Amino acid sequence: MDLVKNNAGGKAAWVTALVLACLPADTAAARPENAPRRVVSMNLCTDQLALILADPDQIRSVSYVAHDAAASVLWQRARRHAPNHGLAEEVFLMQPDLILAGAFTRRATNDILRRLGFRVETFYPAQSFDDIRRHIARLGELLHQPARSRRVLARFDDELRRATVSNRHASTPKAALYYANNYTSGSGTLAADIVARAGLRNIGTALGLDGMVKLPLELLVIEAPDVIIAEQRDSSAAALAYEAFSHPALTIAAEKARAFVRTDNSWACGAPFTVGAIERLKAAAGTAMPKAQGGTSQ
Amino acid sequence: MNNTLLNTALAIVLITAFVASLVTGPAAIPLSQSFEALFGGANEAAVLVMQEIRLPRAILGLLIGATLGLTGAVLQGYLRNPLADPGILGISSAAALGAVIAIYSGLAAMLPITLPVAAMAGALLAVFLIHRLAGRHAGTITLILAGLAISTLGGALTTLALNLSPNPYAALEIVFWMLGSLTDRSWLHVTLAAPFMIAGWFMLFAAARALDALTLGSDVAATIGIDLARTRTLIVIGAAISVGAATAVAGAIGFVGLVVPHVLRPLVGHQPSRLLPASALAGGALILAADVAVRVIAPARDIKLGVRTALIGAPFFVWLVFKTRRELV
Amino acid sequence: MIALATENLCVTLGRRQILHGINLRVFGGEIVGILGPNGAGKSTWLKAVLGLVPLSGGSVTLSGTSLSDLSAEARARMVSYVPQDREVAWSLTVEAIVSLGRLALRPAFAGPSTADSAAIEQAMADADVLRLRGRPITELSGGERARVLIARALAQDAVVLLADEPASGLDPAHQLALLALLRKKAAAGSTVVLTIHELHLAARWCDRLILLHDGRVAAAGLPGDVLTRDNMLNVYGCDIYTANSPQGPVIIPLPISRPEPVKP
Repeated sequence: MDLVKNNAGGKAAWVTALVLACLPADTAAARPENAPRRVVSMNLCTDQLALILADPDQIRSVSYVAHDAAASVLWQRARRHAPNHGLAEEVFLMQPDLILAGAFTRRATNDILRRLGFRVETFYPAQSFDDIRRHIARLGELLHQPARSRRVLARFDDELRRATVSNRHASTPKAALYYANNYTSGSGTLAADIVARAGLRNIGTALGLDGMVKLPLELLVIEAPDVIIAEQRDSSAAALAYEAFSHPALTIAAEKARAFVRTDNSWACGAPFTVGAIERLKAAAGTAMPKAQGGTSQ
Repeated sequence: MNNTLLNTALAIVLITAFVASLVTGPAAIPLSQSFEALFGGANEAAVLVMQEIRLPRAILGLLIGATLGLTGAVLQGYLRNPLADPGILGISSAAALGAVIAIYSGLAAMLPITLPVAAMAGALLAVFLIHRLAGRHAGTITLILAGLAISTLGGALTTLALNLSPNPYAALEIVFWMLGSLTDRSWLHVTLAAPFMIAGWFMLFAAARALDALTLGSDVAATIGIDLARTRTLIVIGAAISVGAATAVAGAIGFVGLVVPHVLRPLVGHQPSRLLPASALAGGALILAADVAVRVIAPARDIKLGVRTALIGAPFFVWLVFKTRRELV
Repeated sequence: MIALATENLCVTLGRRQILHGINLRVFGGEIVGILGPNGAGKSTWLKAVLGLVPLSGGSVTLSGTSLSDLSAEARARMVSYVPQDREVAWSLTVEAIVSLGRLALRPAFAGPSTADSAAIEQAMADADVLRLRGRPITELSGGERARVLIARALAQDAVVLLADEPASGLDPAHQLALLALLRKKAAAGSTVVLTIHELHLAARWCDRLILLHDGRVAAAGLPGDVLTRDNMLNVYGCDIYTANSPQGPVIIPLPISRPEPVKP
C-alpha cells in the first residue's frame, strides 16, 4: 500500500506563503472605516477563508474546530483568535459586527442571532473549485478587502491551472473515494472535482451518483479502482463508521490498487490550499506529469 | 416421519435463502460467474466480492438467524411462555451494551476476542437478571416487565456509552446496535462469533429433552428424572453465549426468536424438543431472506436488518399479546 | 416391606417451618391417604419425599435407600408424582404427554424402546385414555385431563405413586373411577400415597390414613381409628356424621351442632 500520510510540509509551505504574501503588504490603515472589525466565524470553512482574507485584527473569534490541527489547515493562525462553540449566547456576548456561518450547520443559532439583529452571512460548502472562487470573492467584499481577495484569487487561479491535469482519455485511472460509513462523493462535490483535476476518473461520478451518498463496498470492489482515496480517520476513538476500512475485501482491493491515499484536512473545506490536495493526489496516483515533459499533452 | 419432512422442507428453504443471499448485491455479477467466483474464478474483483463480502455475510446471516430462532424456542420452552425471546427479555440489548463498551473503549481493536466476550458477559448478566426478577414460574406479565426493564436499561446505557465516545460518528451508531445489520461483515466477524454460537447450540440442544419434561412443570420434570440445575446451567450459558456472540457482530436483531418458534409450534405437535431444529432452520432462513430483501428493496440505503424483522415481528407480537390475554381470561 | 419412610422430617420454607418432625412409614402395596386442613403440610410432605423441597432436618428413605443417595434417574424409577396443579404449558397430544413418563428412563435423543411403548400403552389403557390418545390435552375436560396426568405418572412404572389431591375437581363418577384405578394398581403391587379432602372417599378407598395438623401428625392408622369425632373436632373444627350404606359406612362432615357452652 502506498500510504501518503504526511502532508504537513505542503501545508506549512502554504501557510508561510500566505503569511508572507499578505501580512506585510497590507495594513489596517488601508481599510475603509465601515469595514467589519469584530468578525465571528462559526464554521471551519468560513474560519479558514476569513483567516486568509481578513486582517488579523478584524477577526474576533473562530470556531473551536479551527484550533484542531487534525481538522484545520490554518490551525496555527487560528489559535491567535478566541474559539467559539457556535452557541448563540457566547456569540452574542462577543457583540460581532459580522457573523460567518455554514448554510447547513447550526441553523437555529443563525436564526436566533439574526433575530437579535446581528448580520449573519452563510456560506454553502464549496462543491467545486468554481465555488471556492466565488466564496473568496464574496468574503473579500464582506470583509472590505478587495485588493487582498484579488491577489489571493490571482494566485489561486494560477496554481489551479498548473495543478489541473487536462488530458483525459479512456485509459484514465479509476479512483474511488471512500469515507466513514461507506460514503463516497459523486458528481457535484468538491472531492469529485479534486479527483477529476488530478487526472483521475471518480467511480462515484461514473456510477451516476450525485453528491455524498453511500457506496456499497461490493460496488467499490467490483469496479477495481486504480486509486483508493480513503477518509483521513480520527484514530483516537473507535467507531463502527470505520469498520469498512478494516474489511479484508477493501484491504485486498487496496493492495491491488496502484495507490491508497488518505485525504487530509485540505479536503475538508474549499479554500486556496485545496489546490494542494490535487497536487498530493497526483503525486500519489502517479498522474503528475514530469516537469521536463510537461508539454506532451495534445 | 412428519417431523423429518418438515425439517427437510425447512432445510431446503434455508439453502435457497442462502443461495439467494449469495447472488444478491449491488454489484451486478452474472449468476454463472458468481458461483465460479466462489471457488476462485478469473475475474479477480468478482472473486473478492463473492469470497470476502457475500460469503461471510451469508454465513453470518445463517448462523445468527439459527441462533435467534433456536434461543427463542429454548427460552419459550424453558420459561413455559410463548412471549419469551432474546430481544423481548433484554438479552440482546444487554449483549449490545457489552459489545459497545468493548468497541468504543478501543478494547476490541487491540484484542478482537474481547468483543464477543464482552457481549456474552452482558447477555449472561441479562439472563441472570431475568432469572432473579421473574423466576422460573414467571407469569407473562412479570416476564415482559422484567425484559422491558432490562432492555430499557441496556438501551439507555448503550446510548450513554455512545454519546460519551469522543468519536463524532459513535452517537449515530445506536441505530446499528438497536436494529442490527449484516452489512460489510467479514470473515473476522465469522471467526469471532461462530465458535461461540455453535458451542451455545450444543448446550441448548442438550437441554431439549428437559424442555419436553418442563411442559408439565418443573416439579414433575424433576420427578421424571430431569436434572433441573444442569438444565438451567445449559440454557443460561447456552443462550447467553450464542446470543451474545450473535449480537456482538450484528447488533440486536429482534423478533426472530419470537415469531419463528411460535409459527412452527403447531407444525411440530407443540413439542418443545422438536421445535428446536425447526426453529434453528427457519430462523436462519428468515434472517437470510430479510437480508436479501434489505439489499433488493433499497440497496443504497443500508436499511437496518432489524427494521424488516420488526416490521414483521411487532404486529405479530401485538397479536400474540391479545391472544395470550384471551387465554388468560 | 417398607416402601417409603420419613423420619423426624422437618421442612422450613422461607422463615416458616412447615413440617415439624414427621415420622411416617408406608408399606408396599397399600394406599395411604393423607388428610388435614389446608396448610397442614400435606403437599409439602409429598414434595419432601420427592426431593423437591430442601429438608431442614430428618430423612427420607425409599425402599431402604436414603433419598439423598439416589440419582435423579434412580429416584424417577422408584417414585412418580401427580401434582395438584394440572397446568400443561403446551398443547401436546395425550400420547405425547403420557410418553413423558418414560422420558428420562432412556438415553438422550433415543426413541422409545419396546418396553417404553408397552408401558405407555398399558398406562393409557389403565387410565382409560386410549381413545383420547391423539387429542391435544388442552382440548380435554378437567376429568379427562386428570386421568391423562395420572396415566403419565403410571407410565413411569415406579413402585410408589404420590398424588396430590388427584380427586379434587372431579365429578363423583370420575372420582370413583380414579380411586378404583389406584386400588387396582395397589393390588398389582404398587404403593400409593395421596392427599385427599373427601372424607368419605378416604374412608372407603384407603388402607390407612394419616391426619396432619400444623405440620405434625395428629393421628395415623386405620380409617376408622383416624376419622373419629374428636379428631375431626380438634383438627378441622367440624363435626361428622356416619351413615350406613349398603356398601359400608359413609362419613359426612357437619357443622358443630352443639350449642357453644355459655360462660357464666
